[in-house]
Amino acid sequence: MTVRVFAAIALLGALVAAVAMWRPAVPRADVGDAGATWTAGVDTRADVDAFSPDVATMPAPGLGSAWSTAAVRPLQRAFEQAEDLFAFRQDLQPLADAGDPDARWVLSRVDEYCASYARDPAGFARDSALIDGLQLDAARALGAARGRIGTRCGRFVPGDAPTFVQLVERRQDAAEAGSLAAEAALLAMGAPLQDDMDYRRGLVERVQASRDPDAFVALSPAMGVAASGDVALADTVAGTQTHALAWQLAACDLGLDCSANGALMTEYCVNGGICARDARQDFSAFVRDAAVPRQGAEELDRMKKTLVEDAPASRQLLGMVTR
Amino acid sequence: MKRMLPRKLRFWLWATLFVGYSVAVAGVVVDAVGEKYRRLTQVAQTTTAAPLEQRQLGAAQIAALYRAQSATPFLALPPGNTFRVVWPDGSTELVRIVSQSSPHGAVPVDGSQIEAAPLLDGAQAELQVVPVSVAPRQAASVAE
Repeated sequence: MTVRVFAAIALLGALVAAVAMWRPAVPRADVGDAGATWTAGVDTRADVDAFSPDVATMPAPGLGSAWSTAAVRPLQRAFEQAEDLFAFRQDLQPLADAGDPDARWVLSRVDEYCASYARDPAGFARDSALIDGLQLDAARALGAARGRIGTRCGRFVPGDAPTFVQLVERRQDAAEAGSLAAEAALLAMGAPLQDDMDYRRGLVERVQASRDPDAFVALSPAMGVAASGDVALADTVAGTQTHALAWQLAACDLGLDCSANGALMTEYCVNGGICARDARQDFSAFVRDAAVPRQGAEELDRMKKTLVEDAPASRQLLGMVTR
Repeated sequence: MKRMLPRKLRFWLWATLFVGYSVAVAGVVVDAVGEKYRRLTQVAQTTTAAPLEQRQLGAAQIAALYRAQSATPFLALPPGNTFRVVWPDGSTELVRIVSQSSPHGAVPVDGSQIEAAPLLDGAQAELQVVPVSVAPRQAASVAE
């Protein structure tokens, strides 16, 4: 009797475990037009300096001054500081139409940043009220972040919200005009300009050599779990969520606005529900506080140092950046 | 002990313990919630029959609210994780996390969609965490 009972229990347990572990086969996702040709143009970065955003779209003096601007390009800085992103976008459009790669990239960033609001302004407000009523631990930070997007994007309407496919297309335009950040973002979005090992590896090296904080943070999702098992990235800083965070922290060191009000932390909070409970924390402090254990923080610092200080800066690579 | 517990009770006690252990080892966590998710703008009208974009946005919104309730949000539904979403009409599908900061950070897994059973009509949106699987290198789809 006892043997039969235990046999029955074991069988039952095995069945439950098998059901729990089962999942449907995951076919490889379509990554878009693999045959798309890459026709990166010349680097037109110099044009960016000619752009001077309307003063009315700029923030009050002193805002956003907590972050380094050493490596940040003027348009990215203007994007982080603009109080009215609709007006900022309108100012930027002619430059983008003229083919400026940075203008095209920053336009796509504005569209992405404001999409959650623009898609349904009334629904955005309803969701904010719903979230406020849930009394979450992160409610205050989440409410502040949503309020920031509501304020900065307040003049956007549903027709301004890009779909995922439209966002990919805009970034393809930017990348083909020469924006490295857009090219990196396309890899992270599963729609790289080319889909071979040499291209992926070369792109990662070009981003690292560029020391462009926007390119670093745009590439970061592709350097996390998505890069696990990719032979092309085997000996790079890639493969886990910690690696992706290292790329983002490196971007902070290179000048990205990683303050509590910056786009990086705002999007983490609004789009991902990952909000710093302490409003004084910047992204670096938040990650050390909430994402990794103390020993993991040391490893994270090593990775970040590798990215920032050991960038392959050979003439050959610099040539590749601007090809 | 044997005298204190009837044979059938002993059987079910052991069975419960063993099944519970098996489930725990398999890594399955079921966290069913409802009202708060169902009322979200991107979730309310979404079913497995909705366009991919709408399902992506709805799933990402559910994942965001799930993380916002967590004491360790970075570790809740990290990239590469898969979870099962049950839409308000009862239809269900697996969704893979590809980014924690993008509104398109959750991608429905092709072939995982199950239509609503008649008995489930009127059910609430819920989220179930299922065992982690390795993410493909590029999970997002720009087709459709």
